[in-house]
Amino acid sequence: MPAPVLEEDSVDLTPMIDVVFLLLIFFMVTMRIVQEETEILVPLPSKAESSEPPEIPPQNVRIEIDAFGQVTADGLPRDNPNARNMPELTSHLLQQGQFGAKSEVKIIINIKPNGEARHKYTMYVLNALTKANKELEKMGTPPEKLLTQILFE
Amino acid sequence: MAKKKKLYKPETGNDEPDLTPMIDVIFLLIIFFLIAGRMIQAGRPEIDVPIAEQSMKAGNDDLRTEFTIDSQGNLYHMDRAIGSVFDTSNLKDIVQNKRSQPGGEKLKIYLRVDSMATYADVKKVMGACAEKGQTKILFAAYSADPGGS
Repeated sequence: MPAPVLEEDSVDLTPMIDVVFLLLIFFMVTMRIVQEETEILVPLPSKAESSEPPEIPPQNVRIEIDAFGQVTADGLPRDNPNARNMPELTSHLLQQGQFGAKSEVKIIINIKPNGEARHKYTMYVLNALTKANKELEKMGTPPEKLLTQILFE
Repeated sequence: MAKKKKLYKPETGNDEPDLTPMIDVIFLLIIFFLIAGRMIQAGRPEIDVPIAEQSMKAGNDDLRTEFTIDSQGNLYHMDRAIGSVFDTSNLKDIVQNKRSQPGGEKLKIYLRVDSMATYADVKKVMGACAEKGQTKILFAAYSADPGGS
């Protein structure tokens, strides 16, 4: 009687590896890399600050944002709505900041976005303001003379 | 006669590579992606935060609480929905409660607003915060384009 042919007992891993690789590729493709968020501080005016009228009337820098994101500062349109860095607005704010630092006049940044304006446009303006303040700091402007008085209308 | 030294001879006959370490590594990678994906889902509401290159790295030492406004005007406190910008009563309660705690006067509101939310929505929330005496608001941003463009 011939001896039975013994089959190899090892498990074929190829289909499992195929499935595992497919799963790995799926998770790698669908996963989004989460970027760390940063922040911009906006100090809102308090009641205590507005109770005492200042000796010298402050000078307002009036920034308006229309519904389409067009920014107007002191009556003149500044930058393209898609210009995220807003170089023209930054330059205008820097000039105003330098004037405020040299004189005793307090500069108040009055921001008036249209109710329909997207939040990103407000952030572009705040970004330009932060950039101008950083430049002023580099020039040696004391902290109390920086453009930190912000009013939202 | 000296005994002949037996030299090491590798076993022959099994030429298949050992796949076990590779499978181990792949399973570990899958577990990593599964857990990381779940962590993203379980966290804060997913919104498209605007880009502001001058924004600073978020601090974690201050007393702060987080609100989110999505593009539809829905309002969240941390990961919990608390209504919409049209009804800020829950938000006011939370702010008041936080401010009444020791050191509450140093509270900072970390406001995550979707880049497509309107200013009218943001104004309602800022107004509600100001009503409760909250003047320090931090707007969330990305310091660089997440897409890299």
